[in-house]
Amino acid sequence: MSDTPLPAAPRRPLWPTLLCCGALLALFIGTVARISQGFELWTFESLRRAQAQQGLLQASPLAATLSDGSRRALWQHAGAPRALLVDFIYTRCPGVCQALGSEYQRMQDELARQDAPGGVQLLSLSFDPAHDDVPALASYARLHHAAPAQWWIAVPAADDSQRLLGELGVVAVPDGVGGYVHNGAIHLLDGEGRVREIFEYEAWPQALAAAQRLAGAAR
Amino acid sequence: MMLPRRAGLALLAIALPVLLAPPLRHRLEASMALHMLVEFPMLFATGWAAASLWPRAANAGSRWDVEGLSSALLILITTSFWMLPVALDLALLSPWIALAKALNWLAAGAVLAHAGRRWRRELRLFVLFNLAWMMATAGLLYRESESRLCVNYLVDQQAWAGGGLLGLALLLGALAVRLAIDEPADALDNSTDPEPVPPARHPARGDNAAA
Repeated sequence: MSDTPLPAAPRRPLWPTLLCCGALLALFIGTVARISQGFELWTFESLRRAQAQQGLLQASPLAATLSDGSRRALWQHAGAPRALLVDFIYTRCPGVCQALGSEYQRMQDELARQDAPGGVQLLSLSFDPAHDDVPALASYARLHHAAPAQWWIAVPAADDSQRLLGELGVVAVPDGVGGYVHNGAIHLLDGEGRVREIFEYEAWPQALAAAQRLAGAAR
Repeated sequence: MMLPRRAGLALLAIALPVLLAPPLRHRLEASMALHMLVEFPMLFATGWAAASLWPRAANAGSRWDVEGLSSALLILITTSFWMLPVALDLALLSPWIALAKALNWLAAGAVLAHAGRRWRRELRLFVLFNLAWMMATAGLLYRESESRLCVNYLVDQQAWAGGGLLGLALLLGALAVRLAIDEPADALDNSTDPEPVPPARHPARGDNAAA
């Protein structure tokens, strides 16, 4: 050990560094707070559902081809249903979409059982326009006994489909065996194409009740 | 912590085509594990390599990074932010957030290329252990979750990414332990002095003004 002290390094002022750290922390905390809605929602799906409840998910006007080959505007026009329960399907889906078909069948039965005209329309929209032509939709409709008065099964044009999926935050990813996995759920839309709420499949009775309330309020 | 010029150029030659060609980038981003464990490090390394080609920039910004505090914070917040499920999804769904992601990782790499030499042993250990526990926590979460945390990825991809993060956490933890053993605290006080004072210069007239 030497007794001679080494020359001390010139001390740089610390405040620019502290300022920089403060700015970085503020940017980080601000960004995380914004994308997680105040540190509460950490997944895109939960964020999407919260946005739906806040009325922030809006679909542009959309026309689609139905399973009977007719083409119609779905919302944002004078004769649009007052409430739509929308889900996204592809007709080749062997699993959850078929299960969802049975949920829609039960909602259809429920709607048909009620005498009063409800203004509620069920809508299964295909996100697979490359495969889902009119015969494929018709076959799906037959399989699930869909009655066009209550339940439309439809496919938009490819570009319109992509736009709608983007607007509503629906993402379909290939499942590796020729199909898709997507953040499927029952979307309650009003006649203006605004998503009011998103429900799990199992909550179809609540979805139907909410749609009937919405249609009743809009009457 | 600077790369040799030739190594930097080689790294850029490999990484840039992958990062700039959309089909190759999309292929990386189609897998959660490749997105997190290959694309992020590749962006980071690209920033590092690019900065290494400009040794003159070594002292740029050093007054904002005394003792390496700002650069260490940048590395920690970059890593923690891009492990959030919502951030990963948004990076794939919004072109602006994808751009922010790329710039963030490039900047982190570029900053560390020059700032790493300002990091003392204690700071290096702190950063390594923090990265290790953050990655281990995120890795366990991704690995154990039975539901999809990202709408863009399947559950099995999520489990693979979680396993990869756990592996990386172990690696960083081991690196930190090795650093702690190989560089005893006493030996470092002199050897890692970030900016040694040239003997001819008087300390009182150091280069504060130039900084």
